[in-house]
Amino acid sequence: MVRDLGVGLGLRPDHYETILSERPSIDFFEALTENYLVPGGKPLHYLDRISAQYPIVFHGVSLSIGSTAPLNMDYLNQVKGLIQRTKPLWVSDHLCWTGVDGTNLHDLMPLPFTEEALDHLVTRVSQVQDYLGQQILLENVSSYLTYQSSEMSEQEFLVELANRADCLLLLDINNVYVNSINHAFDANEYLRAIPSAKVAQIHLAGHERQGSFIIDTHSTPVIDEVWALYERACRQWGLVATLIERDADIPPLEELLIELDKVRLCRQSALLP
Amino acid sequence: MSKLALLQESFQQLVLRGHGPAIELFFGANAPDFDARLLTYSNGYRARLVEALGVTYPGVQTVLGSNFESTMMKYVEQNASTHFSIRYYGRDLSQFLANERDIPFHSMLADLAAFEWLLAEAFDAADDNPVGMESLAVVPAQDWGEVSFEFRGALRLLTTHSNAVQIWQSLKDDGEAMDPVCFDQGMDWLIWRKDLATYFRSIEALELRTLLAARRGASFSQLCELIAAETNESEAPLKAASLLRGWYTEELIQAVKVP
Repeated sequence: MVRDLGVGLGLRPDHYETILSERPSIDFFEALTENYLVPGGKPLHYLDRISAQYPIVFHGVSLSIGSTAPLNMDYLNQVKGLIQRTKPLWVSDHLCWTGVDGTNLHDLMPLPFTEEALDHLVTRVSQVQDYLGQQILLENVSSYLTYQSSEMSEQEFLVELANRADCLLLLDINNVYVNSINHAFDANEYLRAIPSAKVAQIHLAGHERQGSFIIDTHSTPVIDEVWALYERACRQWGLVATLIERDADIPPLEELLIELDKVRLCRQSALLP
Repeated sequence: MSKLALLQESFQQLVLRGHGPAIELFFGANAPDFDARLLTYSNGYRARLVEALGVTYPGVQTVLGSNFESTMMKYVEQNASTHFSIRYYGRDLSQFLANERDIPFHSMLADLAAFEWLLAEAFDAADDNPVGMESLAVVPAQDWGEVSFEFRGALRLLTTHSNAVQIWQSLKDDGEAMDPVCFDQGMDWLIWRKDLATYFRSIEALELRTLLAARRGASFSQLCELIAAETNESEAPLKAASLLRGWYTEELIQAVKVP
């Protein structure tokens, strides 16, 4: 059983000073791993200070766990060093690939939901978990195109991977909603398929409509439909560490604290009979 | 090659080139929004890299103004990102701009890019601690000539042949760029970090040569000899001591090595 860390926020440089001076009531921060894979200076200075006062988890974008290119051992080695330095409560990345042939697209490229991809992932997740000496969390990603080659639903793929690779899941409820529109499936059915024992963390974020489909921008507040899915998820899974994630158009901390209060309310109402 | 590898190879080419046979990988190729969905990946790739270049090179972005995006797009087309962190994308921008002879003042822009890249390097260079003048107090008088110095990791040196650094400063001070000027003779710059802040200043030729020798491990007496060869022999120890005092004040030195 993974510990419920409560209600957290993505750690962004815009908020460093406010966090340290005002000590806001936030249960944990999620730091973007790559931002701290630098030799020194301000990023690590602030991470050290904030991690001395708040629980920290790491969230990466470059593991490229689904890529057919070899695992980047230099990257993993640096992540391992950062883990030893900061001692996060856990480390997550995305269920995606980010490039092949030495190129990094710096995007969370979707995987086809095939047995072949599952076999590939199970091997790689085991290698990463062995190397880091801990279970990792993998997050479902938003996507805009539907592979013809997929052999199962996204949720079946996710659950199968978590079971076979013995990893945990970071469920981004916004991404479930985005994909339910982009690929025309039932988001509630998706959530029903995910066993609570595998969900270690939840992400909530905003997105932007682009005509008939949605782009996962993380630049806006969480919409009502996603809040409704979150409430449903809380009732199904119980209390799971939940994070508001904002990556662009980052507002002042006070604004995000209001969204965090909404997360707390959802969690409380989920406990009611 | 496995099916998964082929799929990823094809999709990546589609993102990098904006077209390709990978379209057959997906459902809905005839749907009205298919191109828009595809562009989310290919345009998104370019937009992210251009945005990252703007973060690393704010001065270049301001000077290029409305031409920044098209110029950076050309760089992106020629330079895929190969590092796991987007922070390190754009390492070759200075060289790229130096070769872009059609861009007005491309030499100054190349200098400006080189300067901003080194500022970024100094910003998150490895942490180390400065030592003060008191570190010399423990050196016995007879060993003074043999003492040498270890400099801090964030220290960077740059030679420009334009007023790029002055332009960067004017942009920072009042948001206005000075007129670009190119020089035949190079100007040398010292860039370093003190606590968490990044600093820079120009550095005269004699100090630069002395600093370079000191970084290579030259002893104090060798530094005095170097200075004496270019100035007055009797004033050399004083000049060397004066430079040393400045380097200590600026927190450039992290260790004193006594043989």
